[in-house]
Amino acid sequence: MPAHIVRLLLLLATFLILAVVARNYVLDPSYYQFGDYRGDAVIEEAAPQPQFRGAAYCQACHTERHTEWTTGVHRNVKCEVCHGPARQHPATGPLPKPVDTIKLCTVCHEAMPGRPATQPQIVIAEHPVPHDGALQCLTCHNPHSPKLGSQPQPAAAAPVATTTAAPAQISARLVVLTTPCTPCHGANGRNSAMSAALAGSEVDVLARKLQEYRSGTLQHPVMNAVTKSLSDEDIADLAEHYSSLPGGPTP
Amino acid sequence: MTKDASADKSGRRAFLRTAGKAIAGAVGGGTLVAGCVAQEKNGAGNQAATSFPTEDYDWTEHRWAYGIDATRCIGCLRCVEACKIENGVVPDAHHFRTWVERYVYLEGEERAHVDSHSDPQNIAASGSEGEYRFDNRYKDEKVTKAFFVPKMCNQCQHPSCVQVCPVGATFRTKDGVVMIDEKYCIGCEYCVQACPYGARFFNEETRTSEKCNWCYHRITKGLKPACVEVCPVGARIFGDLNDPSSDISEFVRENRVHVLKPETGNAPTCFYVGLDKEVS
Repeated sequence: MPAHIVRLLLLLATFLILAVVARNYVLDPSYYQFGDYRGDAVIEEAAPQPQFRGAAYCQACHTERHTEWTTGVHRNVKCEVCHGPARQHPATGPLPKPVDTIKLCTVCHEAMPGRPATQPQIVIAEHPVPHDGALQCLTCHNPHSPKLGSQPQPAAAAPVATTTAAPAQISARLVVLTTPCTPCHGANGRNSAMSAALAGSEVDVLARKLQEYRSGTLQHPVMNAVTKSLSDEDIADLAEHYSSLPGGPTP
Repeated sequence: MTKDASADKSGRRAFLRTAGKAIAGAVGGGTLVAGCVAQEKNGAGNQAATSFPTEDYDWTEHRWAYGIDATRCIGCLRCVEACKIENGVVPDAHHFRTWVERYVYLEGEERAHVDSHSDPQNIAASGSEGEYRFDNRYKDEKVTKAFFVPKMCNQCQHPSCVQVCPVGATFRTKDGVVMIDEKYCIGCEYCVQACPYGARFFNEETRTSEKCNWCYHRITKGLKPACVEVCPVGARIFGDLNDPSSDISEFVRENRVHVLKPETGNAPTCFYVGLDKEVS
């Protein structure tokens, strides 16, 4: 064989040997294990520890809260949506309690074009209780079961029927005036589950209390806020309206 | 796994023993490909002895799929935030593995206004680039129609991103997740351009492409992806199509589902309900 052919073949052989050695050295052993990729990459992707642990993880310790939450309208909103990821909690300390709940709650509940009608939404400016920062959503709403009139009550008890009994026909003016009252006191003024029953009370007592809330003599974060803008005439009408409603035990 | 790997190696040794190295190389390549193809076909049979990728999770037993009910989405962006935390995604408004688009039709207009959390006005409304919310910018407009559409990687059955990757750094797993091998990714960004859904982005810190992997570290541990976990309205559904009683099987069975851009032939495994003519 001519020398130049031998040289060429030797060169080719060297290249091939180098290529095979380099391939064995460089290529990850798990490459081609399942296809044209590194099989170990799948193991690496599966390795990290989850940050969000799920409601069942929280339930292990916060049993009571968990029960309260599962019976309320927020039962599909998992703990970590508001409290953030549990990660290694409790080893790493307590999880934050949201401070600015107006900001947090309106992320879901601010009335916005595009949100489905089934989503409870509020026009912030028109919400019964003014949001001036001093009052937070949690002043009235229990975040774990936020529907007013639904808490507190044992899970077994029948729900308080605040809206089922149709209230007597009232004037349009009174409809506007009583809007802020209804969530807590009920449409018929008889909801005592989370507030005072108003129906059938003395008209003078109601009027005096409203005036005292308005002036601040009586202190209550919600009542002070909702009475702030009432006129004397408003107070008189409200007192008369609620005193005229049939009183009695909460239905 | 070891079976085929060793077969490859013994094949390689056999070729090395033969005199014609050039021919052997070519044949060896053929054997290798044949081996991989054979393994793909045999699938579970080869893997029966050991479960992969973890002791408790065998990827041949699952066929993951994702459902999005756009009619339920309220645009709260908890999914976007949770995804960022769970996966350590760059915490700004412009790197994200999932996002939510808002489509708003105003009175007298034919085309929708579309925005997402990375819109400057929405960043301003959220207060920082690490928090996400939609600005209520259309509250005083005459809106004829509006809705939100969550988006993410569609985990295609024929992913164009995998096809263009020059180094085998992106691939589809046996359980149906398209993922990126960070160690092999050279950051050429071909995949970012190839994805018809814009689901990939480039991470300038790691110099690699990044995308949703359905929280592979969660689903292999029996959890749901973080976005599904935190969705307060059940707009995001995830599960195993191999299990007829799973959420996703029910979702696909009970609804007329669509996929995005079916004309690309990518065959997504993200199924949508409540899409509209302008959504793609």
